[in-house]
Amino acid sequence: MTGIRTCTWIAGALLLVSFLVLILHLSATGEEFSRYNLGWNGTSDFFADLDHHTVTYITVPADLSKHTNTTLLIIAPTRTITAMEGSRYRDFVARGNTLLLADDFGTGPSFLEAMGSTIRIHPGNLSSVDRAYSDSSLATAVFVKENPFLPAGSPLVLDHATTLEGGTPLLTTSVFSWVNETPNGNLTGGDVLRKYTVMTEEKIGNGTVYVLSDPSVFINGMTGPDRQFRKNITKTPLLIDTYTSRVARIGGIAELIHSVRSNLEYKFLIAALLMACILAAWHRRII
Amino acid sequence: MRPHLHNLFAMLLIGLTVGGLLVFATDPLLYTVKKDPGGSAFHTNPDSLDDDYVSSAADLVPLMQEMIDGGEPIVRDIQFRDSTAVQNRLAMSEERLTSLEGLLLDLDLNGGEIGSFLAAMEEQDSTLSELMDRITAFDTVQRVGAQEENRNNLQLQASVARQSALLQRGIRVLAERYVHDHETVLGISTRLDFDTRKYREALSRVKSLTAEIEGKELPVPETTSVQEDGITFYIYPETAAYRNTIQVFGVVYPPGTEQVVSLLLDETIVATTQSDRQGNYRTAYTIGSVPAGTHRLTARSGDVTSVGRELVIPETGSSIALTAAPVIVNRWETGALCNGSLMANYPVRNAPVRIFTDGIDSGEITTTEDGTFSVFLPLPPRSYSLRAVFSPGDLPLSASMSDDVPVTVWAPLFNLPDPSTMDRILQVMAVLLVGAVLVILAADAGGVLRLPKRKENTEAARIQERIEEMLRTADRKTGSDAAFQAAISNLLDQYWAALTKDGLSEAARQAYLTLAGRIAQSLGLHLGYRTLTPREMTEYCSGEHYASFFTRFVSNYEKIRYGSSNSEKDRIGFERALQNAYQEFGSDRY
Repeated sequence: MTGIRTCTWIAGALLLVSFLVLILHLSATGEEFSRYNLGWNGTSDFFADLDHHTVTYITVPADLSKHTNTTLLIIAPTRTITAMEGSRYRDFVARGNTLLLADDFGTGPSFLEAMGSTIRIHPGNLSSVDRAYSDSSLATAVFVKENPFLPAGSPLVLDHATTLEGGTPLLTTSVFSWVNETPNGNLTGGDVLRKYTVMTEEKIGNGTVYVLSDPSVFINGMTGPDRQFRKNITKTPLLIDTYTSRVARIGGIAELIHSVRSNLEYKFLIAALLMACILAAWHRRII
Repeated sequence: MRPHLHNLFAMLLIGLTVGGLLVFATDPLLYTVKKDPGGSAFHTNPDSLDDDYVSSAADLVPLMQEMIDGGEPIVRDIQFRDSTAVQNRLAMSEERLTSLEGLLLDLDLNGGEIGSFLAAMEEQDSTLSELMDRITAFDTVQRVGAQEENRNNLQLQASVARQSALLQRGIRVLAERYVHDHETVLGISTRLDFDTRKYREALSRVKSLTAEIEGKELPVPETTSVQEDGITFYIYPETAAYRNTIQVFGVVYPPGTEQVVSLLLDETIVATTQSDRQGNYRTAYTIGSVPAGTHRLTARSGDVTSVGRELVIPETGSSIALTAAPVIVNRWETGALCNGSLMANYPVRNAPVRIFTDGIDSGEITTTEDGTFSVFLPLPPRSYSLRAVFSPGDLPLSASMSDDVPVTVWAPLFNLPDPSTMDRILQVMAVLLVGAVLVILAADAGGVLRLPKRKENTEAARIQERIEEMLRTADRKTGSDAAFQAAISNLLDQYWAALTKDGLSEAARQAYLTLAGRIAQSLGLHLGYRTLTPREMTEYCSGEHYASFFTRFVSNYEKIRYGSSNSEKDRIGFERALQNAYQEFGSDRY
């Protein structure tokens, strides 16, 4: 065999790698909080860690009526729900289920109002002296009351969180915390230092609504600091809301690729085509 | 195109394709922190932030608590009239304030109510420092009035009473300022859960101090109204050592306008102050660059000069300490680093100190504000004895010298040239290196260089050398292909020549054709053998004595020619078979 053949092998391998990179590229997205976003601001790590046998995706609120003894997770909602839809979420909780809403600057306030919760999300940047990085917006919150998500002694690292009012506080920041409107997070003239609630709970019927004022704990960039919290959420059977949430956002070719990936018939068709190509190449002595 | 150039070109194209694809694929797949450092309204990229060490409330709280607690001992020292202790505590408090300011900047807390806390604390320290000064002045003025010889001096008593009243008013204003700042700090501290017990105690001490001063109010005695120009002048104490402070006060006559009052020491102005509308003036003078001895102090306002007062400044003993360590600076300069301090009850500021090396004066250095000095003394490698000497000059201090300090200066382990020369050498070396690489590349490209090739084995190398020699000879003779062919006289030589020129596969084909041609000739097949496959050729010669050799040869040939094998093992196998075949059908026999 001469050198030209070695070169052909290398070329083939490089082209294969390039093709895989291209497919990976096209199937990803840059949308914030999207499960298809592999970057620091996506949630692909969180979804990759889920046990896919115990996770169900809720695409319309009507589907909630089928589920009992489970937890619905809503990350960064952007859709404003109607009163009718709100009542569906409320019924879901009242039947003994759990709803965990994580939101800061999305449609979380109107969602809570529509489902009849008294918890309120206040806009404004929460900053704290107690932080995990050299940025006061990455404040740490600590346990104040027994809850299923975070044990005493392990802090939750927030990333540009807001504050909550109402319900029973579960996690709060330290007294050296403040809320301001300046983007740099510096304490300014009118800011007051005090403890702020970042996670709270409210009983509705037989179930419980938990609200966390920061969906960024689910992004890939926060996998390290908030691993324990995320792990505790996935312990129980989980429903993931894709109706209101940003986690299912995707666009362009990626949408096509994911629709193919999620469809069994398309998968069989593509596998058959690939097999045919390989057989043809074999027959023509290309490989 | 030659095969290796073809490969190079193909690799280049592939590299360009993959590179282009990766560039295209960098968004959103291949993120870098640099590409997206800022984040969005929802979050900041934690990867872009430093998390090696992050300050927190755990650093802030103890420092703030120390500051809150630090006020009480200062007020207590003021109550005890211990101005030195007060100054030391205030210096410590200033250091804490500086640390806190840095920490707050780090924690984005340099504003809001923490900013108010810091400002109030700073203001409080300045208030307490001023309070100490005023109380010292008040006590001094009171002491002057209480002296036996001054009891009947109505003019002095009136001056004392007026100065006391002025100082009391000043102390009251300072106390009010302290209370205001105290309220601010207390409010913030209480809300942030700090322990404020000591801080509250500080406030009660300030209040009791103010009450004590207020209780010492003196009646102003009746004196005759003076209409002529004049000035009274009192000092206390009349003996003061280096860096001690004396209080100076008096009255300028007639009252009515504010006057500038100069303080003269031996006819040289050393301080100025201003009287109030009632003519009262007061100032303080700290002994600095004044020789020891008895001096004359006077006060002057306009053309009027007061009576003179004698001021005795005793000589204060000084002591100087020196340490020295060998150092090498700038990678090559050897010497000794000399550190030391000069004290005379207090650190001696801005004083000249001379360093002597083995008794020889090596130069002068001036002490800093805290009485210390530091200097690098360039010295060649060997042992020395160093000494620091202080000559007081105009200071009321005694001369002093340090103990002899031995130091051994070592030569650097590698005697490198100085940095600028080193840089120049490195630059020249870099240029030479690049030049050498370019020359080698150019020579190689032009075929000037003939780099030695790895020898496969002894026999092969020998044959190779022979062929190269023949090629060179042929080139020299005619430079034509005919000469080249003529030079190759046997099977093995033909094989090696083809291997060098066209590669293994083609060399094997040519060897086979030559061999098959000779067998065909011996079997009487003539040109018909060209239509036969190698295996068919083996069948034709199956009855011959060389059949087994030829079959092995064909088997190896098929591996290389049709199996596309380029392995070392198959090549060696083929060459052995060729060697055997050569022995069987060498040109001598056929």
